[in-house]
Amino acid sequence: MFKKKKMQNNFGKKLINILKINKRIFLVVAFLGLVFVINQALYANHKKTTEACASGKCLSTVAEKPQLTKDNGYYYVDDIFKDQPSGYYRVTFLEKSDSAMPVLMDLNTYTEKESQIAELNLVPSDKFQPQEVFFYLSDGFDSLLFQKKDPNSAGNIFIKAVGITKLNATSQAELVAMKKTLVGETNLEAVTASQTDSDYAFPWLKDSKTILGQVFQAKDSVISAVSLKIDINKNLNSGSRQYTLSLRKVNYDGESVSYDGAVIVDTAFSFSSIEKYRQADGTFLFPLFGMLEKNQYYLISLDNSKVDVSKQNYLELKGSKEDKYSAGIAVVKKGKEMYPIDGDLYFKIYGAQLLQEGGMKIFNGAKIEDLGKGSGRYSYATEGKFVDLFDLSGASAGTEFSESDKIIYAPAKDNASFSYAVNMLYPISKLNFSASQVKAGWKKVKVSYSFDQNDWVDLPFSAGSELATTAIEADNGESVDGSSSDTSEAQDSLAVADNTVPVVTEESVQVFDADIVPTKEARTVYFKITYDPSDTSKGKSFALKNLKITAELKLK
Amino acid sequence: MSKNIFPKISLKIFLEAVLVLFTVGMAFYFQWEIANAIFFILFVLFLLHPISSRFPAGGAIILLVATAALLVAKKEDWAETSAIWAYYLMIFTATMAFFELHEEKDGVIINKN
Repeated sequence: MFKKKKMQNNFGKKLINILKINKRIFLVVAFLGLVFVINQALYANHKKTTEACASGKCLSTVAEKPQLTKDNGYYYVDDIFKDQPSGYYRVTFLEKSDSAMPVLMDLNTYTEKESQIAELNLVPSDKFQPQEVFFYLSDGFDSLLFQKKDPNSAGNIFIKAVGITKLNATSQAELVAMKKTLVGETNLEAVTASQTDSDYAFPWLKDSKTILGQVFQAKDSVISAVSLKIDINKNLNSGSRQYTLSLRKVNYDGESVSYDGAVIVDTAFSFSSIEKYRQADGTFLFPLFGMLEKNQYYLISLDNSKVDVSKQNYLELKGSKEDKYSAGIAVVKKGKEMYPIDGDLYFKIYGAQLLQEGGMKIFNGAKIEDLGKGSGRYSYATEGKFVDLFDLSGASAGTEFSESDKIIYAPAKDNASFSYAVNMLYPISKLNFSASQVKAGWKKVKVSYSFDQNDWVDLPFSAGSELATTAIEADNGESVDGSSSDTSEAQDSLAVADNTVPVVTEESVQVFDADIVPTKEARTVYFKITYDPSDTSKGKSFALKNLKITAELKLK
Repeated sequence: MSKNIFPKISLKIFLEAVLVLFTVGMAFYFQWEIANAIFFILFVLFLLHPISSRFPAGGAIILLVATAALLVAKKEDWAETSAIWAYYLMIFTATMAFFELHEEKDGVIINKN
């Protein structure tokens, strides 16, 4: 016993002696301890499942705020009548209410003089409903006021897109005979193909350089979005490299799959940016615009080739282990080999349905109004939103929507173009097309119009100027034009380096503003937008911004 | 009897071996990528047995040049990896240089030529 204790003492003394002499061992122990503690926190796996994110628990986007609430029963649209002559008007707007509720509409001034023009009984709805109210505007009013009839009621009301139109009417009797205003609304919520069983997590994306996807049959001529269920496995060091979600046409014979064509459309996201696609039910909705051929087979796939996949950082696509979707199969591609696997992914393919009136498609947000006395007005303007893409009647491959510039753009190569077929329902008296080139550094644009798609006429343009922010290097004065790049990655033209100062300069851009009078009766006009092949600038894309089409219509 | 089977090793070597084994174990435990694990194990080895800072410095310079070349060749992913490795080697260099300075102050000059 005594001997054992003595031996232990000797070993302890020896150890202390060695550590005194070898300070590096101390250093290494401390270093390893530190690395262990940091990594234990940093590399712990955090799993985020679709189920855990249901009921909006993981939503990163801020919800739209209602205009009328329990706390705020008044909503003013200021100065909407400023400098407007008295007469008969129509006010149109979109409303959405979560409960049945009466709302009063008043003309208003800064002196709080009010005159009620309507009492609306709103019905609860998940979607915005168009409303229109006719009224006589007398002198002395400049604002429009929406107010709850019962200010203490608990309902929430959303109001947007408030607009007024001066009418040709001269009496109340004429207002009664007015045709209802038609407002185009594109439905992006129609599911055209789906498989919704999701009790199985496909593990394939744990392996690097792997593509996991689902073949589906197109039932619509356009795709607007795809919904997927994805479980996210990541630690705090998941990196910024991006997964690629792509859509391509495939050859599918019921058993094997192959593709040789290019990607129709793709989108990329990292572990951090994927959350912006999260929906309230925990699924992910990725906007994808592409023209499809009905009944053809397409592959929607997720590629992890560019991501540093590890056992803690990977995505799991949810689905069914059994084959539940009869018109397609799930596939895995590793290297050059693509092979079918058991089961089907959870997916929903969304189409886009424009409002149809008399067999004609009406653009999203386009308004066809009766002004009275047999005349009408058509008005359409791009909203700067993804939904603008679905107003296109045709588009070459690569046509996309830029979230940063809020425009539709296409690569300036080959015969690239995108086109609009503008249906106005009534004979056109005169129309106006206005738009401008998106930036001076981009390819020049050529706009042509036709009433029959045979005879095309180029629209003239003038040189306009716009202010552009240019970055000047502070130390040597050499300029670096941040606005000249036209790739989607470099569209943040205001981003300047630390050692530069922003300088605002004027740049020349094309401005289109043309009146067109049809020589024979026409209800539809076609516009084709392409790039100017004679433009030798280095721009790689072309686009228009602030596109607006208005027309005077003959309603009788 | 059994004492004769194992070669007699000093306590210092035994401790160093334990630390290296622990390092390897950490790499497995945290499932680091092979390259990262190798750099980490090398770092611990060099902490125990420093080398001249010139060697990692040379490696860092070569990798930085490679990064630039890879960027020109539009191999962004490789360039990123190369830059990360260069950064690791710069940490090695700084640490080894610190040891050299420290040992010079103590009157010992490391000459690993």
